[in-house]
Amino acid sequence: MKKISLHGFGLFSDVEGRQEVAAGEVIFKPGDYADKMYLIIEGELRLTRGENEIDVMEAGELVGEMGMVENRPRNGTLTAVTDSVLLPIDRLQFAALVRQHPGFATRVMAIISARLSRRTESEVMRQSFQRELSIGRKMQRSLLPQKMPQIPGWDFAAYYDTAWQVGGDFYDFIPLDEEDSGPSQIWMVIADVTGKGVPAALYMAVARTLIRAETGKGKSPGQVLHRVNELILSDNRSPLFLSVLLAMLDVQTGAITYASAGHNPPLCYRRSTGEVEELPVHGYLLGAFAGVFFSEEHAFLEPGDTLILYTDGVSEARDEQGSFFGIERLKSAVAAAGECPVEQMVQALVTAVSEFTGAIPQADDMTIVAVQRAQAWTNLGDNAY
Amino acid sequence: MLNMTIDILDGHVPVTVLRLEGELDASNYEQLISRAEALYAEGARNLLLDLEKVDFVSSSGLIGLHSSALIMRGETLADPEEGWAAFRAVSRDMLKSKSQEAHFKLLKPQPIVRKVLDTSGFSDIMPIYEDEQTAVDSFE
Repeated sequence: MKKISLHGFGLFSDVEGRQEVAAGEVIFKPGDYADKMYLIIEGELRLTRGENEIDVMEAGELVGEMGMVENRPRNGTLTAVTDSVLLPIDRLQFAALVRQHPGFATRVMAIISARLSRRTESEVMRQSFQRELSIGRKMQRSLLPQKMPQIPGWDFAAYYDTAWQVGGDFYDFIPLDEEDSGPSQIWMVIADVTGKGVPAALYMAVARTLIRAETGKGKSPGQVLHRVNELILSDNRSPLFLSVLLAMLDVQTGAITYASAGHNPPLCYRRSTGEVEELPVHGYLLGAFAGVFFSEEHAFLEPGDTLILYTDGVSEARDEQGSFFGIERLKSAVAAAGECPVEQMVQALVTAVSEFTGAIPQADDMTIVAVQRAQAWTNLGDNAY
Repeated sequence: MLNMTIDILDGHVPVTVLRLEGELDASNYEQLISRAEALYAEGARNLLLDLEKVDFVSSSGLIGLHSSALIMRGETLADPEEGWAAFRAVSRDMLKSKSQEAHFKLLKPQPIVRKVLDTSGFSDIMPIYEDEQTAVDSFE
């Protein structure tokens, strides 16, 4: 939008007191008494409120007239972007200019009006962007499981939160059904796309689809990761990495086969000992190296045991001193909540992280997925006689 | 916060030692990439990245290491499309390279950083040394 200028108006030869300001200098800040406005003779100034930029103004424009006319304290911060020369005009000088030059008042009104419509336009754009982002957020959430799997003898829980409106973490459950008798296997996926926000979210949607498409009967987690890695590398347009932990659970036996693509080690709570094991992981971040193979590991869940998968937003959450929550604190939190039903356990982990971080805003997406093997089966067996 | 200092040491060939101090993460991994690009432009062909004073490497930090390795292979990352195509070809090479053929190596990662390199598979691809002189002498 065209900016209207007072340049060439030739009114200010009789106003004294030009003021030079250096780049970076603050001319006024919120709360300051607004006893004058400024005509920008040279340079560029930026008006901000909090962290938001309200406007950038250049030579020929007026700034600070609203506060002066309305006789209220400043509510924004005016900073010189470049070395600038300003002409301060106080209330009395302003009144005199309006009286002596009838055209001056009209020109000032034109400037204010143009500025208001410029700011309204950017506000409309900002709101429209927010709306788009909120649609993106809903779409992204719809890519996550809408409910936990219902498999007798197993309880599942998950927590998902993004640092921004949309994020690069995701998780998934993929049950593989026998023809008649419900699922014999369930695949659990947790993943973290490097980066945050919209690029990560778009990539997350692609990665989720690739993993879903490659998972199936007769495949193993290592094979799936190898294949997904090759697909990503054959079609990737931007340098993004993705860490994935893929675990295949045999719901009849409790046997787990898993493979990691650069992902954090899963934790396993052992009901019989009350201890928390960090399961070994070794594998390449997806999208980083072509032609690599992924080793598989095995674990076994006894009745009462819980397997916990998480992203680095959990272990790398920081407190006010900048320390990490870390895997040891996470293990302690798991041990403390080990006897709880799985949903409560996940909630307890989230609470432990948020108590640790305090007022520090969440810096990264945070996801936790857990599966607990029910205890009831063995108890039933004991009572059968 | 990431500080970077540079030493040029003589082994069988001149080796640029880039010493990092602080945390390598999303806020500064691009600084590392720019520095690697600048060093390559100035003629550096063998880069040893000293991680002794690095307390933390995030997944973005890994992108910084990865990109730096590619730059030392003579790849230009300026154009994301071309950079990525080149990157795929190079990453295959990286796997096949023997340690002495690599132009980008790592020195003395702290245990917490070493764990990140192991978990992500980077320590299989990038040669890691515990002794500076051995590292410098390994470039040919």
